[in-house]
Amino acid sequence: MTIDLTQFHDAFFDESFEALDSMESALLQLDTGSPDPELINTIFRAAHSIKGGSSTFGFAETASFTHSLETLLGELRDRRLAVTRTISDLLLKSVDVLRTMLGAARAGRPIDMQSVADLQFDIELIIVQRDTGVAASPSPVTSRPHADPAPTRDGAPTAVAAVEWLIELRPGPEFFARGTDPVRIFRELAVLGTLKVSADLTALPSCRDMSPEWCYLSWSLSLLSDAPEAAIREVFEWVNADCSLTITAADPVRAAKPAMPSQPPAPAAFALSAVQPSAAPQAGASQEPGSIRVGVEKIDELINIVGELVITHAMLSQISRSVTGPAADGLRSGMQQLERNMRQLQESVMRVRMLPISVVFSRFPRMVRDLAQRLDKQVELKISGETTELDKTVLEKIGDPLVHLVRNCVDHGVEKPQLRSAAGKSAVGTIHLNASHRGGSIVIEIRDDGRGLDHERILAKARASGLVGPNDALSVDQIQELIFLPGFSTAEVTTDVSGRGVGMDVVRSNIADLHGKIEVHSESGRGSRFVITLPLTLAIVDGLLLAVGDQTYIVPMTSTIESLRLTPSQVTSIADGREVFRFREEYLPIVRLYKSFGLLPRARALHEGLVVVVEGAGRRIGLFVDDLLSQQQVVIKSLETNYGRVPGVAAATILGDGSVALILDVADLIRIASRREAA
Amino acid sequence: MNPSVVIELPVDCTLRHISALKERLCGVADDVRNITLDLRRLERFDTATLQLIAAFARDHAARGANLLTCGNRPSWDEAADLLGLSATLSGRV
Repeated sequence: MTIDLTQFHDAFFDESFEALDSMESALLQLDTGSPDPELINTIFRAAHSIKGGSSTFGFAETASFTHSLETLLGELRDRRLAVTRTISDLLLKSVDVLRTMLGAARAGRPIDMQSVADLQFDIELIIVQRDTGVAASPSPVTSRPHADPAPTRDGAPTAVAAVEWLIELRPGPEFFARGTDPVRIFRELAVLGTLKVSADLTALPSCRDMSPEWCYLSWSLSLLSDAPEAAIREVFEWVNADCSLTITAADPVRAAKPAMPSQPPAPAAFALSAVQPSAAPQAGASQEPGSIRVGVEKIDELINIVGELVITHAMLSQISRSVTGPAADGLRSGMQQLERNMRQLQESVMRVRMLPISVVFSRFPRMVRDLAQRLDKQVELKISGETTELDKTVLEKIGDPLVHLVRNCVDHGVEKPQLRSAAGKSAVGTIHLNASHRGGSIVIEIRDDGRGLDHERILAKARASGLVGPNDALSVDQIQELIFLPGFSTAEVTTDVSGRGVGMDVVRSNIADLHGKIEVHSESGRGSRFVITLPLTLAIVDGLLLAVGDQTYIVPMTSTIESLRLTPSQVTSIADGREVFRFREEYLPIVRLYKSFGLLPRARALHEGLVVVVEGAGRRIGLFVDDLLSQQQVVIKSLETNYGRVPGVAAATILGDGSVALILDVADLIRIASRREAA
Repeated sequence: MNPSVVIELPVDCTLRHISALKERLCGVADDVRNITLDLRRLERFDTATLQLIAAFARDHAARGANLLTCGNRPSWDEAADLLGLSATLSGRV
């Protein structure tokens, strides 16, 4: 029987890219001079895993490159080589090269072997120079520091007798401090067969008397496995010298079994076994027990069905209110219980799509490091709240705006060290990236301690470009808002980093597309703070329901500022029948929604209806409607997928009574109103 | 006598923060009958964490206290099983 290995390719690529991310993250934390051994182990394991998978799946160039990389990492891990800035840079370049190689392999594109060969040469040169320098002192336990991964059990299945291996592990006191964690070792062993573990606590003192960094435990293990001894020993490859380790075979068990499918459960009080596809040991080995990979489309389908259930529940709820008779109380009580269950189901399903924002934040340490180097600046990036979770779609779309903002902070915000010192600041600038939940939203803050926005220069530039009249007096907030106008830039020299004036307006419109908003607060000489507020998900929106004629419209709460009833004296009519009203020191145009959508309204006079002040794309307008109905969460249904693009409308939803309501695209309505003004 | 106490384990309980955790555990009085470890915030832990909790559990089990955990942490249970510490951590030893 032959196994089609391509079915495991996607899992291999996904996990390899994840391994590269963790490798890069660990490299960026690595201190030259006194590196954390656990960080080096993390990097080594990532490289080892990619190498094993690459050879299993036949990506020979990647396997060869990672072999050299692994050799270098082995030298660092065994402290035969010191981590220097040159080596750290080389390792980061290796991450880039591996990303390119794996990307090319996944897409079936040819690999640029010249750049790979150049880097591989540099890596091997360092190893050779080390070999010709100080003599190596091999570790007594790490007998095969550069061994190939465990023999793969792909190809034709062979009957191999399961053998019981008896393993005694007696760590020394500094076992943990040297970066070795037994739970990881045992987890890898469990992948190889059926594992029984017995811990010896006799040396463990009382909690008060112990040094918690020391290892007092020792273990006796029994592993029933068909894996060769080499594969079992390899699991202990990273175990350092500070322990006693014996691995011996008991009598071979008679029950011969094929290498492939599942292991029989052991009749022990406690037994762990892990089953993996025999053709993809590396991919299976790196997965956490108890988790599975599920395609995004399957999750989206689930969310869609839950959305339909929410609508059906709302309809039934509405009907149940009008039911009378003996069954009415029971029905309403059941509906309440159903509502609670529905809410739990909805929250659980939405949580499946949630990912930590570290997925996006993780790219910034490298980016800031490289940019600062290029611009001859010293920048420290501080990240907090990286475990904050938000919807996968929001996460995917917020990456580019954040890149723009962080690049701007490094390029325009943080000054060169000599300028900072002259201004009495630390030569090292700080950029702080933080995410947190606030109510039903996520707030991302990007803050720097650089020069801040130059308000005078921004205003002068805006006047010179005709964006602001020569005599217009603008508040500080209004001046800061100018940076979000299309084409606005005060940079005198455009570089490939930033300063082409194509950034901040795109940032704002991308964030508006996510139903979010961005604000800037800046103080000259002290720095700038950009605050992005986003909804947790794009599948459901908190909306304000507006009545216009016999229709209901929904405006997202994130776009809503205030609603008010105007008196005729507050409204000024200007040319072409356009109307404006004064709101917080500015004049806002009134958009009559019934006119926008060609409806017959119940209220025509402004004092008979209500004006809802909404904000989008940095501007505000007043929407004139008949009435406000309620505020509720609604499930978003794409109009473009099911019907087509409608100006001023972002999407649709189905209300509890089964009727369709349109969700307004506030930014688009403002754009339409602006075009009308300009015409 | 204090009938019960809840100890919330922080997000990161790995080796770097193990001394702080020990201080907190040592602060639990000897007359507490029910001790609950709240694992809901816990995200990162290692064998050193489980070893410390095992010593703590064994000390209090010896004087008849009950040790419970709250918060659904499959990875905690999996690690305890892998290290052969399940019985100790559940206060059965």
